[in-house]
Amino acid sequence: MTMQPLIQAELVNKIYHPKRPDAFHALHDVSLTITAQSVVALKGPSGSGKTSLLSLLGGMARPTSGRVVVAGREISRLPERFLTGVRRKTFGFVFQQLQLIRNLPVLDNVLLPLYPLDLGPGEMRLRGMALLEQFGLNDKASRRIEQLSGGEQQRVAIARALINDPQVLIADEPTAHLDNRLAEEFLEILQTLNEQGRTIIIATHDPVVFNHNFVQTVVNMHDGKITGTTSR
Amino acid sequence: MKRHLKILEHALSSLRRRTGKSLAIIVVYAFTIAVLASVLFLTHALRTEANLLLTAAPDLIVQRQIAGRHELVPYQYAETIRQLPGVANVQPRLWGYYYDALTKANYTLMGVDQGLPAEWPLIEGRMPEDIAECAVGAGVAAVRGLRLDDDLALIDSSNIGRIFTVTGIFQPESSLLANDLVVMTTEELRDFFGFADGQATDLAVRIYNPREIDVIARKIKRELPETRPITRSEIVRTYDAVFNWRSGMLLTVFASALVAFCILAWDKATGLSAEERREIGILKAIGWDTADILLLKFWEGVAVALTAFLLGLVGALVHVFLLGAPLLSAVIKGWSVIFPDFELTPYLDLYQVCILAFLTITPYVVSTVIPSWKAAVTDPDSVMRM
Repeated sequence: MTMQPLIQAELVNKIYHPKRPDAFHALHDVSLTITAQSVVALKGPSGSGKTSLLSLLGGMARPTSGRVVVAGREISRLPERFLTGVRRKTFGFVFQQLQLIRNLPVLDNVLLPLYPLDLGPGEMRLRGMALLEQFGLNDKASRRIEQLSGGEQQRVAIARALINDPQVLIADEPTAHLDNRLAEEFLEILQTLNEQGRTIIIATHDPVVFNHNFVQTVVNMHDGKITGTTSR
Repeated sequence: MKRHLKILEHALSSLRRRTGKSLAIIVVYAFTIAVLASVLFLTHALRTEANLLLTAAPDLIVQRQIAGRHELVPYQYAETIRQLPGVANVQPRLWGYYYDALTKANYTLMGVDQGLPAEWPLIEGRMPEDIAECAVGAGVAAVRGLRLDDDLALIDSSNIGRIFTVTGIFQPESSLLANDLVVMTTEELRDFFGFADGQATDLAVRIYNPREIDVIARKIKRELPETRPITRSEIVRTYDAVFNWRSGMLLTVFASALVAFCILAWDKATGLSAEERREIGILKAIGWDTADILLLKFWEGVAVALTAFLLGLVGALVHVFLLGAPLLSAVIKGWSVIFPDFELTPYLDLYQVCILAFLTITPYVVSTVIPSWKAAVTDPDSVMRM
């Protein structure tokens, strides 16, 4: 059975600071199709364009040219408020530096994506606590972020990414600051999420990630171009 | 509604997380508002106080001027004015200024035989009834250290010292008008200043119909060209002008402080720190709309501005109405050795408060939202690169 394409990038180019002397061509005519419920790793050295491509696929930036289509809808030209809607409903992000808000309790960090929605505090808390329980952090809900270990902070970041129940989880260099044990633990979580039906896209240059058996497609990148794709 | 409440909650939590910066802005902001509001409150309260006290003043005061110089008024003038239709009563008044070299203060000496107006009550004692007796205002009592039955020595027009026994002291409530008063019998005052018999300092005129005051003033001027009739409304306007001028001058002096505050507030409010930019990027990346970010920054601005405004307002109320405006009263009330020392009744002009709120809260909130808007409309992609 052929899986439906969930995200498609078509001849996408991304130039930072165009028309300026420091203009930087980050992506060159990149085309990529990601099917629903798949696990894709974007592999390449620093500066190869992985993060730029992740940003475009997740609706966090717009291509300079080309199209990005998510679930049959082109998002590259969507007005800001619609793009935010797509980002909120479809994607969950785990950033390289986690980007949790310091001095804010764990539960509040997890619930942040829900604040602009018209949800009651009871329902929000229920959803947040359920996720924290899923990641074994329910007893640390009221702790401040800086009081948690690196691995715990990573799990908080995943919980925050999942609070809106997104179809796609995007992770940028998620194991860059983790030791092997924590990296394995993190990948197991991603594998479980994939088994639950979520699409996972990871940008990485860590062999522990792209050699992991749950990764189905490895996209090799270099100098802003896709140099090859390996499917398992 | 739920969205507003949650974003407001997060705004307050953001301010708590930046306690140092938030507190610094609130303290400077509140101080500036307190100074501004103090000047406005004090001026307004003094003006209202003066107006209230002057309601019992004569409708017209008639002075005599010769070659522009103030001269004593013959009693016959009172008779002439009394004959004018519409005039209810004419009362010759005897009073004069006295410079006390001992305290370097000016007193107003007044001769009263028929008692003072009811709004100038004595705090203790009685009115002078005989020669060598006087009642004094609270300010005079304070600078000369006088109590009841003490002696007050003054130098008369013949350069001879006279001793008066203090029979009464006026209540501080009337001190805006009575603070520097020394009251004695008319005959005593006439003798003290060396006024000739049948002459008064000025005439106090009561009119039946207040709407005819100006008409009667014109008639007096026509009948007695040497006179200068002064209406009560002119006195009220003079008080207003004096208080307005003084408060205007104070506000001008404080303008430099205001400008300094504006620069500080603008710098603090507009200069998004790297941490704030990062936070905006994170919020956008996790699904916050530009409008949500602006709402967050709006609530942050409102919370700071409103807190500072309320603190400043309460500070000004305490400063002016509870403490008697020790920092400003010397300038607003007048440069005199005998300052009127009284508790101002809190008169709040809502219009004034609203204007002050508008002029202080709005610019701050706007200066908070605009730079955040610039940060919020950029792609959240930047957060991926932090």
